[in-house]
Amino acid sequence: MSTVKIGTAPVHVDRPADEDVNEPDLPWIVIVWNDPINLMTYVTWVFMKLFGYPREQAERLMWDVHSKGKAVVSSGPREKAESDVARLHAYGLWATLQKDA
Amino acid sequence: MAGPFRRRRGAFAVHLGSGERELLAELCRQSRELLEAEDPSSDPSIARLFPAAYKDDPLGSLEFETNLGDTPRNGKLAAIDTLERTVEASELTEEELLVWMGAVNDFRLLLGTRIDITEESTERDYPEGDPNHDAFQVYVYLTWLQDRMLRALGEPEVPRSVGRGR
Repeated sequence: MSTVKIGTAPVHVDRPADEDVNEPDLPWIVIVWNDPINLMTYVTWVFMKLFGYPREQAERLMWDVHSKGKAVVSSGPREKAESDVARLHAYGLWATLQKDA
Repeated sequence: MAGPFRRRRGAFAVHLGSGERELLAELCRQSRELLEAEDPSSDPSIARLFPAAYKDDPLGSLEFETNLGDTPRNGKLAAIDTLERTVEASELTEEELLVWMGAVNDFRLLLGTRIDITEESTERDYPEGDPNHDAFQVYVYLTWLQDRMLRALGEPEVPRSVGRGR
């Protein structure tokens, strides 16, 4: 990669043109983090209530949160992920979203 | 022994003593005061109710907060209003009990954050004479109460059409 100087601002050239092309297709993931206050039974209940997950799946996610410190609980376009995070916050869970790596 | 919330003809019978109801009303008043404070985010326990949406992106989190505006806070205040209005009720609808449970969970988050609850916390960490002794007793009571609410409510209905959730 070479840098061409125009005025005072360095300008990068020959940047791979398709570098950003795939980015919008990457799904966003919603992560729930472990916290010492929310009850395990409550967290399971919220996963069932909000996402319609069957008990086994909700419990598995809850155990991941509890033992590994976090779990990916849903994914999709950014708007959906943001809406899921807002709903999880409304239920008192500690949730964040990020682009899937 | 019968629990404090019992399903009865599509609603829930509530068996709580006057002391328990007074405590819930008092927690409503205190939580409302915290939520209506000038700069609620300056209080760490209030901040726990409204976590950042992006872990390492303060600007993204700020934009998320700005987009939502007062909606999250108003939702919590509305739940407190409902609990306060129905705190003496002998029967609750399922919807009201769900709102009660949300408010009780918020009380636990507020209290638990204030007294630094960890996963290992026991009553030995808050002995008689400790400034947080009473708060811990209330926290333990709310934990019990929420557990009873969950038992009474049972499993949420899984809508067939959104069973995948992703």
